[in-house]
Amino acid sequence: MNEKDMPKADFISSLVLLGFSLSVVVMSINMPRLENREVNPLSVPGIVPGFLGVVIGIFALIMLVRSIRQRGYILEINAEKTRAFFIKDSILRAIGTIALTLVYAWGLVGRLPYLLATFLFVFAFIGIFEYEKNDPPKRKKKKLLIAALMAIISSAIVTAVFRYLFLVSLP
Amino acid sequence: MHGLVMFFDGLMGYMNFWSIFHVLWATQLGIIVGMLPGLTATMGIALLTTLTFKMPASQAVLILICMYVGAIYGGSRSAILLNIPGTPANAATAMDGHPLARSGFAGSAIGIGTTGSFLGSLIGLLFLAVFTPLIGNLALNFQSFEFFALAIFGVVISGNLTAPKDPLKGWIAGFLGLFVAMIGMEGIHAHVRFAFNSVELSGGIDLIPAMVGVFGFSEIISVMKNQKLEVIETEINRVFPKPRDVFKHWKTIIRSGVIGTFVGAIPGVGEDIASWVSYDFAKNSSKEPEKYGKGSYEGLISAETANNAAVGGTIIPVLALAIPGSAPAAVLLAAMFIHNVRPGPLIMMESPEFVYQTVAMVFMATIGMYVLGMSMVKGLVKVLLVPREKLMPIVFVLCVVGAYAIHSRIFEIGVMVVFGLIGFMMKEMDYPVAPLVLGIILGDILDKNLRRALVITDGNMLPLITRPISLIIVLLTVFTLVSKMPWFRKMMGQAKEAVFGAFKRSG
Repeated sequence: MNEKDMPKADFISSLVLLGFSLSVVVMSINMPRLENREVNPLSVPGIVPGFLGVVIGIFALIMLVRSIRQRGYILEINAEKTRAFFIKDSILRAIGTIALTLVYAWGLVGRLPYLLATFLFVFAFIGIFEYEKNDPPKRKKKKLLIAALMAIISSAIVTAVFRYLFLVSLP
Repeated sequence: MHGLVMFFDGLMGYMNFWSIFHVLWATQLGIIVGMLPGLTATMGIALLTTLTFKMPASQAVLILICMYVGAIYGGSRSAILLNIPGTPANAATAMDGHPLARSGFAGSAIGIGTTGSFLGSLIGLLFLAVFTPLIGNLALNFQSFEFFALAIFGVVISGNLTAPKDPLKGWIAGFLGLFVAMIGMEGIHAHVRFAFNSVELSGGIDLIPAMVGVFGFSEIISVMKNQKLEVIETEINRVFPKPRDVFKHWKTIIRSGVIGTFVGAIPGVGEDIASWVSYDFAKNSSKEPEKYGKGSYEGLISAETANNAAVGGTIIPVLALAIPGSAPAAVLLAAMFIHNVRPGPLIMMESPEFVYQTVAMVFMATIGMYVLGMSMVKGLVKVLLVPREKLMPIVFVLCVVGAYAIHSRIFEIGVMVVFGLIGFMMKEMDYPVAPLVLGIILGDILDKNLRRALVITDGNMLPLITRPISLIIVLLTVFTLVSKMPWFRKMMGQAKEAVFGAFKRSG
């Protein structure tokens, strides 16, 4: 993120943090005081989270005031800017990475056999990120072949090492 | 003298085939991890923790320390050859290392950098051996108020130094980390907090998956988001430096070693800040400051000596107080707990031999780093040519399996992913992640000690400023907080002008 947009980011993050700190304080106040166990009121479970919630709230408030002074509240979000943001190469790469990793970590692992899930992930990741539209078909095929080879080797090694050497029962 | 005997005992314990074998492979792996931009020392140690958790503690901790020393050193290779620091600790190294490589002195830059790292590491381990028992004995006087004050001081100073441009964000990160530690069953009344009826959350957030996420997964997203790295073809000439070329910088080496160790020992600050502080000191006291940034061997050696000296420094509070000096040291601390080693104030009473055994481990890693660092230089450069598209999916596979392996729970993979996304968002918005991790570690200490202190004194917080050690920590915390305020800086500037101006006028 560039320096120019930082007050806007600070404005949004300070609002999120304020909401968070408020929730923490409310939940801490509502936490059981354990009177039935004759617990000392100064050692109740909510006291420290409540203190942390207040401190985070104070910091967030300082940041909010600062970002407002720097006119960070003028977000200037419109359809054109949003579109321009989402077609940036770097943003697309980050979104692609997050999507692929989430599908693997939350979708495949635990549902498919570990070896197969890992093979599919590594193959898809290398295949997608190394894809070049202008490559001749022969080069495209070669890249996919290398991706498949790397996926087979890496998934087999990781599975073998963890399952047989470190005796981890893989998902 | 007794310490020296225990150090040699520890060292002799490692003079066998398996230990030397572990030193060699772990240090070499550390150098490779450090070299590769996107793979940091923290990530390397976190992943190796999962690989070594079934080993005996003495071997597992040895491997992790070798990874640590190797990775902090290894990052200098990519800093010199690519102008991209392999780990954040080598950012200052790139300032002079890369211009040297561009001028055709890549070999000598690597040689001088390696020697600086070696000497820095030795200085760090010397301080580790001397100061750990001293601080450990001092820490025996710590009670609830001191630990509470120390926990707050830790996140505040870590926030200050890891976010020099905007310390407020560092402090927020630190306090968020303290809050994360509140999730799950608390340690006094066994009440479950912030678990929202989730059985898994009631066990709390485990440090290792959270760290693998914050330092591993988030880094993968950042590496993939950024521009591709271009490897520059550089001729590597003579690597081994002439002793004369090293010893003419003896003052810089000693100063950088001392600075590196002390900055490293400050909770949650770490090697990257140590090398920058050392670099600035070296530049300010140099006879040739104009050469800095253009290819100064002195600048290079100041950065590389400090970051490796910081490794020894970061382990001092790990052993003496159970508080990490840096993010990699935080994983090391967590790994020690996994292996039933209990660092902290009681270590000098319960197992002083472990302190000196750790010194012996750092010594072994240092020797390993120098031997490996000076050999296979040309061959290892090829590692830098592995494209990120092929490397990053494999690193993520290791992050997933690493998060899962310790408790064999799918839930930990979720923790890793969530913390990875949080870490990425934080970095994008200029929030440092090191205070967050330090907060997770210090949260439990803060929680128990604040409540104990309140109960003991019936709610009276005055002992916080009437007990001498606690008062010192409170004053340091207040100073750290206000030192960044514009009014305080202005006031200090005026005070400085009043004092020095009077001297100048009278002179």
